[in-house]
Amino acid sequence: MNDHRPMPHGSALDSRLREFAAEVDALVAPAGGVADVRLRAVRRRTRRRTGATAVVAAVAITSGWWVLPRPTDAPLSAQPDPATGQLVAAASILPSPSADRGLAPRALLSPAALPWNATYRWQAVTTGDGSTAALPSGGTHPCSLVWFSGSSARDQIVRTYSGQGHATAQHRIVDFPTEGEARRSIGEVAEALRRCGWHGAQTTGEGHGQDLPVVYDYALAGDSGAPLRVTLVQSDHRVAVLALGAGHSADPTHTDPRTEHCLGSTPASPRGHC
Amino acid sequence: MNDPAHDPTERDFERFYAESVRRMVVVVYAVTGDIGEAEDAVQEAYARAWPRWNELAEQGDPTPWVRTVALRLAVSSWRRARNRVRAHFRHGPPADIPGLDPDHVALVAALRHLAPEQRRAVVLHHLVDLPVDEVARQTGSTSTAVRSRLMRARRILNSHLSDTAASEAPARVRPRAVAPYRPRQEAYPHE
Repeated sequence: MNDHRPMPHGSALDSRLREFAAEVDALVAPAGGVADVRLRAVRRRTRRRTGATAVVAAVAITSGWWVLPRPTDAPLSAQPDPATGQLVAAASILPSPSADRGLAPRALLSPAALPWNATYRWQAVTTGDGSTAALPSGGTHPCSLVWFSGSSARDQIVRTYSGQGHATAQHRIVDFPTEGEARRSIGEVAEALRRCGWHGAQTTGEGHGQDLPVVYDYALAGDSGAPLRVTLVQSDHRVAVLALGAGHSADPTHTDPRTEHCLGSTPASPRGHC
Repeated sequence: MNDPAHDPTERDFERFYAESVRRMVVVVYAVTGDIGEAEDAVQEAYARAWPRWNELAEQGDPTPWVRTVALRLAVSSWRRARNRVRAHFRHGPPADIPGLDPDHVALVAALRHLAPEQRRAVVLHHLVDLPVDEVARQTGSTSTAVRSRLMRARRILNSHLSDTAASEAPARVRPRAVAPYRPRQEAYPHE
């Protein structure tokens, strides 16, 4: 039998399906575009290469700590990462949501909980809705970083800090109507940082059937050599940003001994903040 | 650090994505009947194509590879969510694309009455224009089985579609909106 023959009475069905295809083609718009594709590729690679570590992370979450694995890979197009096993407590940057879904100042980090506090001795400056607190802009080349303006964010809360040596920091939590929109937003911000030349340090996300928080770490050497560092965390309908502008250190991945000690505490004694 | 906008590999992939993604969603949507599942499966398929982009591009047209992976993913996730979908059916089928022509809404509804392998055969043969043996190769089946599925599928579609143009009347006289698929040197997933 010649299987290249067209099926009998197929022309009407062909036409109908093609008309359907033409109409649907004009109506669909895949959410996230090619940026979403790259993020999925990174997450998939991370999942495949940190299998055992994801189990450890799952245990840590159960015990009240979100301890992230040492980065084993870098996002696409990123330079090799000189990080030395930096750990970040995602649970401290984005604690569990309140029952009423509201954003409360108590969710923001106290100055003593910020990284490198032993060096910079942070002090809180302002706490508010973030309308006057600017997030980092620019990158290794002229570009604009649009963080959450134009997004579907419906509420924000921000605390700014100052430290010795002209160091500055900001902790921001942004509320979205849905988890999907929060996830889309963090993906767009991460992609924007990447395109502006920020160096990505580590990424994690879903793993082994458990929904871990999505976390990105980006660093940038500033114009005067002072580095900037941004940690993004997304879980449920919220995105958190911890931005640090270290006034002196040339190594944005410099390990903070106090934070390391805190994070190295036994997971059996969960605490909200270090 | 290299600017992604000037990286030829990234540009090449982005161009391929922009030129093919909507059509890909259409095909997977026709098979699954669920636009959300279709979009998710298509995005995931492109994400799997990206790390091996150079290899796929060298082998020829990556479209069949991406489509096959997307369909496998869509069917896989569909099976996992089958109980949830059946629960939704008690209250009505999954929401179609807003603004879709009623005739096409009826077509999607009729396709949902087909078994998965029948639906896939219909879409690949009648929408993507693959010959029967090509449908068999891409679905891991035999030409005989594909022809049998197509004939049974047409009977089922005829019984659910009020417009008998699907069975005997001449084709509607309208210019084709989509160019027919012409098999070229192709890359296929071996996973």
